[in-house]
Amino acid sequence: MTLASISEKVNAGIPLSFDDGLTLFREPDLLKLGGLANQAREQLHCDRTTFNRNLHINPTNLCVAGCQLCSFSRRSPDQPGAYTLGLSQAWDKLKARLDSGDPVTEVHVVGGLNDSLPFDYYLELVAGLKRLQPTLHIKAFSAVEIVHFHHHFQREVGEVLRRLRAAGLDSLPGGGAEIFAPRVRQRICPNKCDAEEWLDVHRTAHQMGLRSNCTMLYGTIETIEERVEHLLRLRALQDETGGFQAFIPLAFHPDNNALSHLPAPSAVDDLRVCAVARLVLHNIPHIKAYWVSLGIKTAQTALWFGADDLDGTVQEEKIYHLAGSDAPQALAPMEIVRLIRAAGRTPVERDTLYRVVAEGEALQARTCASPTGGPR
Amino acid sequence: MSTGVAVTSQETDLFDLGRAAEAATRAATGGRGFFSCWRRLLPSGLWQGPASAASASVDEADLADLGGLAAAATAGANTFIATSLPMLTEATGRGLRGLLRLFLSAEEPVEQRERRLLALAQQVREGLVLDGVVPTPEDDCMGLATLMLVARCRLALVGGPHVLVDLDRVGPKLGQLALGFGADELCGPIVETRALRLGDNAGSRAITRAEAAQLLRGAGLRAFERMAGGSLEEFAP
Repeated sequence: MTLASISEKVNAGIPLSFDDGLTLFREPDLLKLGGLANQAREQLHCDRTTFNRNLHINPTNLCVAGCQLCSFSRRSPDQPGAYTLGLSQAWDKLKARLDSGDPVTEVHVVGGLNDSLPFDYYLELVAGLKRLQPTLHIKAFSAVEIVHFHHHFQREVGEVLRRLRAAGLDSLPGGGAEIFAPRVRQRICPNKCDAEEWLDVHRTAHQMGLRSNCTMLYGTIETIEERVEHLLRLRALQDETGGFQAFIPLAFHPDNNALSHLPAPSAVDDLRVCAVARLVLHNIPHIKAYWVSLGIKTAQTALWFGADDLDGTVQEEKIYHLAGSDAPQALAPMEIVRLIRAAGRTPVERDTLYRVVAEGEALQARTCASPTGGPR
Repeated sequence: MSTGVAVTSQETDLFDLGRAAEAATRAATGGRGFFSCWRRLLPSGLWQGPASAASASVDEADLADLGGLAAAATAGANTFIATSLPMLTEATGRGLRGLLRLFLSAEEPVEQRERRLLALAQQVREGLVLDGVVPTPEDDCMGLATLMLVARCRLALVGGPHVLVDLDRVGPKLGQLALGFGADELCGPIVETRALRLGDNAGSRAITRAEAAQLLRGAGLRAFERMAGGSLEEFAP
């Protein structure tokens, strides 16, 4: 298997095999790999690069999972830094953003597996956010949290999703997939749901008409075979349901966690994962360069290595920042637009479902109209 | 708003440029890459960084507070990072290693940046003593533009100065990418052992000598350490 033969398959629209994936990960010429991924990216999206205006709310960091890779969670309320937001505190974060005049279109809610909170807390959290802005898209609760609700509240996954949806849930984020290989999960997140459960939550959500994203955490102890297998399992579910909108490669950050002896993945690895994902996941429309995880400069470079989306303005991301991310807490829309233009790409503001909110002159006007261009 | 950087596929092919620069690096260095541990003379007169660092650097911007180049040299500086050519020449005349920091601003039109670089290349051809250039982005949106400038430095300054990556300014991630775009030397907080990234040390940009060597090898270069006095030693894993 060579890059040339893989290129032929990509051009012919033939899905890449497990061996193709390994070849791509082993390709020593990063620029050749990037060029091929860029070709695939431009065939799908030309120069267009999307972002949205979103707000992150992490309602609690109390978590029973105790994952080795996590810098965010606390096991007990007595530990320094442990917190659980009251409902009003969580809603106030959105209210403050709306009151500032920023036209946020999405709230992204993920948190720890807190076994002291009732299910009503989550239902009311979502309902209250929706009440503040009924047109807002609520993307909330990773599959890991949904599985926790299923076990802890003894309700079927479908019922959990139906009740959350009735409260205002619009889609699911893609976190918690980590690496599907049991060998790795057993070592870095032994108490988290397994691959089958993670995939089943997304399958169920897709069957209900909810969209979701998917992720892969790389850079801990996984092999490239385990990375490729992970990607192929995501691709298989996408073939079945078509419900994934974006794949988000998540770089492991070693600060402040039990794996801090490991080096952070290199930028070459970051770009390689992005490029391979674009080529292997031909059926997932978008590859997101999550700037909080990659850092701004690497995320910008990734726009030439397969990625076509930069996530959003974010504001108040805690999980990666506690793990040592040196990216800012938020980017103003104006800064994201500038970042995209400086990469020679065309910025497009989207909503969570990748519908265009503004582009061209309308985007310019909307960006300039935001107070200080948005959050900082 | 940005004036734009010429990185679109119409204007310049990022991948072609990177490949050409990488080949030029191999030709210029014989497949070698370099790293050195730095300490920096602060405007206060104190040193930041380990006393054992091979490179004791001073920035031109800090000279006024330090009392001039002579005072910095007396304090032990052996590497001068200039932003102007007259000061560069004065520093190399005093026997310091002379590097030139090339700032990269989103506001500067690409053509102007290109003219600046070509003028420098001309002066190097005419005999300017310059041991290295240090492309330095002024803001975060310049990641890709930094790589492009690194590549253009390598191609414009053929057979001449080193192209350095200041890890303090660009971080190890972009620094590593720059090695694939024509840079041949890593400098900054490169230490023997680094503390785990916990507590106050979270977010540290320090890397170990072994990690620096690994970055160079990952870019296909043999890793050499620049020692005090300027000699080069191949780093044994």
